[in-house]
Amino acid sequence: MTRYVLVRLVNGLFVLWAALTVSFLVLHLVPGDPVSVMLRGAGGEGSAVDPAAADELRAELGLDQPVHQQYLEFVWNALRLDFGTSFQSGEEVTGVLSRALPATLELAVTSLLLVLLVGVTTAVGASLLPTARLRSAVLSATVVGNALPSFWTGIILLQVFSFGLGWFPAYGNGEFAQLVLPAIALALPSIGLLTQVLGRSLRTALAEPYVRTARAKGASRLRAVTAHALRNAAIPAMTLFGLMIGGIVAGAIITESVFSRQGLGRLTAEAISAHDFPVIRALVFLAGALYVAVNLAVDLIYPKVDPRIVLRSTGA
Amino acid sequence: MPSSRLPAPRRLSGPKGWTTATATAVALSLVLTGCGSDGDQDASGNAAAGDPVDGGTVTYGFTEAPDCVDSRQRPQLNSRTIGRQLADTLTEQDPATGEVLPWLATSWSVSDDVTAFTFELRDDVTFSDGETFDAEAVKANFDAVVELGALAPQGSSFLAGYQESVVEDEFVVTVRFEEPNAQFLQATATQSLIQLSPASLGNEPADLCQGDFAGSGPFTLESFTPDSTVELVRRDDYAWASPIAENQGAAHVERVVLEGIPEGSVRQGSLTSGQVDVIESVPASGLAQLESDDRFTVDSVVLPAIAIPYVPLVHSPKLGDADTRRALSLALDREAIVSAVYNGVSQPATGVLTSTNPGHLDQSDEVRYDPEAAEELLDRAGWDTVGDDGIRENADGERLSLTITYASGSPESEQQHQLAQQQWAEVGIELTLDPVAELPLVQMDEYPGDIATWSQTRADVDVIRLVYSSFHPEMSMLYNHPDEELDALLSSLQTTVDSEERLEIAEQAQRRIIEQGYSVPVYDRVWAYGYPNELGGFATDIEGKALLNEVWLTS
Repeated sequence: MTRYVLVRLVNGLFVLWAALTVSFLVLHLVPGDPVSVMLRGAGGEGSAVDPAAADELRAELGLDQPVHQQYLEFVWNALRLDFGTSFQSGEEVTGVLSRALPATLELAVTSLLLVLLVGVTTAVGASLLPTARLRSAVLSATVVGNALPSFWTGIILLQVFSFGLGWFPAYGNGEFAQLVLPAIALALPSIGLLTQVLGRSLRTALAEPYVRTARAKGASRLRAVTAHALRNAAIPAMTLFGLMIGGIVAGAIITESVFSRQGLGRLTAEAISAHDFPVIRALVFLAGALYVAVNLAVDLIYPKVDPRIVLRSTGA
Repeated sequence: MPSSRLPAPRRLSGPKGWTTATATAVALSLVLTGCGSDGDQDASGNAAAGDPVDGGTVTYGFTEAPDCVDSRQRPQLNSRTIGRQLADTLTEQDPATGEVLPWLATSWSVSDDVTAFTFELRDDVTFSDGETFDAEAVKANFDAVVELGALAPQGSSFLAGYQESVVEDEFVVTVRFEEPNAQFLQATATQSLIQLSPASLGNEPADLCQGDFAGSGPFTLESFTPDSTVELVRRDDYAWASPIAENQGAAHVERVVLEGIPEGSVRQGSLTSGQVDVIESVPASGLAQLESDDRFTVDSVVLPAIAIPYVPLVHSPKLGDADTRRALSLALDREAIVSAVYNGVSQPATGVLTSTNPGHLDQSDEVRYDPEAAEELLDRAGWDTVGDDGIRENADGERLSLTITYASGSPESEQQHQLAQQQWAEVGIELTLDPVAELPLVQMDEYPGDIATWSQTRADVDVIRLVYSSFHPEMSMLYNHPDEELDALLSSLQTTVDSEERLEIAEQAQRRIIEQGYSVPVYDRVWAYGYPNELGGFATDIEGKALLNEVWLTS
């Protein structure tokens, strides 16, 4: 088990290195020059740019060095968790990130709790319905949640609950009231998906002989679902849930813009449009680390849910 | 609309974003098509009745909160809006006329050769850290902008050729340049040259961006969360407001909270549901609705800038002839473009400059839609054979096929180019759209395609000097084809201080530009503020930035 975790961690480091290298290369290959963005302004307005000023700025940012040298420096600094300073603001990247992180964490965690709570409740609830047609109708309905673009959902939620009823503020972050609508908007698509997957695996599990046995011994349908089928049906949903964590962070890009929230999503969008290399690289690093951690966590939880699963490091 | 209480200066807005201009070489020019600037505008009339009320917090919805509140380092409108509240400038511009007015400088004189500007300063101004504003402070500020260099792109271009500032007396300072620099006077009214406490000037540029400085403005910075929120608190001992302000003392409201609300419909919904008190940039999609809502006032302002143009590149082999270039202008239906694409947030161009630029010359007789005249010009220019595909050819069999290379990403400019494509096709000109992820930073002669576009905001005629002169060849739209008449006019702009004379020169230059087809002006950008009728005193400066020390809440 310890060996398993160690091997996985080493693999994780490799994943991180690969992600950083690819992002470094991509940033240098795609058209776009941070210097011209800086000199021309974020508004996208055209203007004259002094070539001498551009060169000066390029030198200041270290962009005039050969690419391989920039890469080596970047990897060495990344190893020490030093991501340099933002091209845009000149601020330490770690400072920029740590300012954005809490808002996104709060949003993502709330949203994931919603997904779990509503998704599992709906799937379990649906499986308790008396007829197969009803069960299937409820599961099908959740597809809608999955299909709604979160930009649109966000605007509708705002129209109704903020502009119309005035229950929640339309923008900003920090207070619980400001968290509700964006968390719902972000959770809706995942709720649909989780309900679908869990509902279908529950249906499969409920058809298994051990459930029939339990029922024959007098277990109620509720008990058959919660005590017997749910555990077995949970594995695919858990895998999905792990993937959703990444999806939620990606979804934050849109949700944070619609709800004018600070956070990693907005930061990502802004850093990309400004070609702010140091910030983008740090975000890639963070996303990679999150991916590695979540996957490891999910894998470590599997045996707890289903004791038949044994973790071995061979071939990992 | 009434109000008796409009501040004297209500009115037009001005430029913003890049104003460039100036002397430095700013260069390359062209750039993005059409995209938007951040605009400015102005506001003027407001409907609130009654006397000003003191106290309260005004919440302001930004299109996008700035990442930096040091407006010397960020020429974008959002930073300039903050800069305006935190710091003052040596001079102010009359929003109606563009005339340069005294502010922190009570008077000035300019040497005959226009290389030395002597300012007499107010002696009663203090920075919010307690330091005194004096000649030493002004010197330190100009020195600091030059030191910032590329980090202060606009200010350092305004100061191109800066030699030194000389402290003549405690409150008299002379700024010297190596060459005539007439545009400098107007530049001292911009937020690129705000006056900060000398004690702040040594701070790191990144810290200055985060607000680590003291100015002499009507507000001080309470807190700043980059890209999100700016909180300002009124300075109670403020007593040196700009001459255009009706309120010469401390601000009416105690606090201002500026929130970045990038999504237009959310910004507007936040306003109509009472969550914010004023928004900038009412989105085109919601403008009509807000205007028809009698609970709210919409102040729309044309930004003082260059009218967003198509620029026929003279060095393109097909556009070497003035008749061909002018035909492009006559074949363009600006009304159609404005109503289809920029519903309410722009108006058809009437000249090289926007109608609110102090140097604007109304050239709508020339800048008009007249496809027949365009066809005559094209015939005269030798494009007199129409091919099977409806595109004109010359005697050599060359097709009149032009390419515009532009930065993709703005649906509006995309749509605008498509309309231009259809309109020009009707007179036999083919336009090929070449969207690119990002325009290269190249010299003008390497600029891809035949047509460029650019935009620049500055409430001064100087905005046209750089790109239509041949003084900075690498960024001249007339690359390698200097127009001597235009050069003479534009260089005399730099040696002429008298505003009447400057205007006269500027008008001749604008006429020359249109006659020669160097610019095909398309539209003037409009910036709209929306606020409830209960908000009193709303006014803007010449660049369209809100004067937040003027507003008050009545409920």
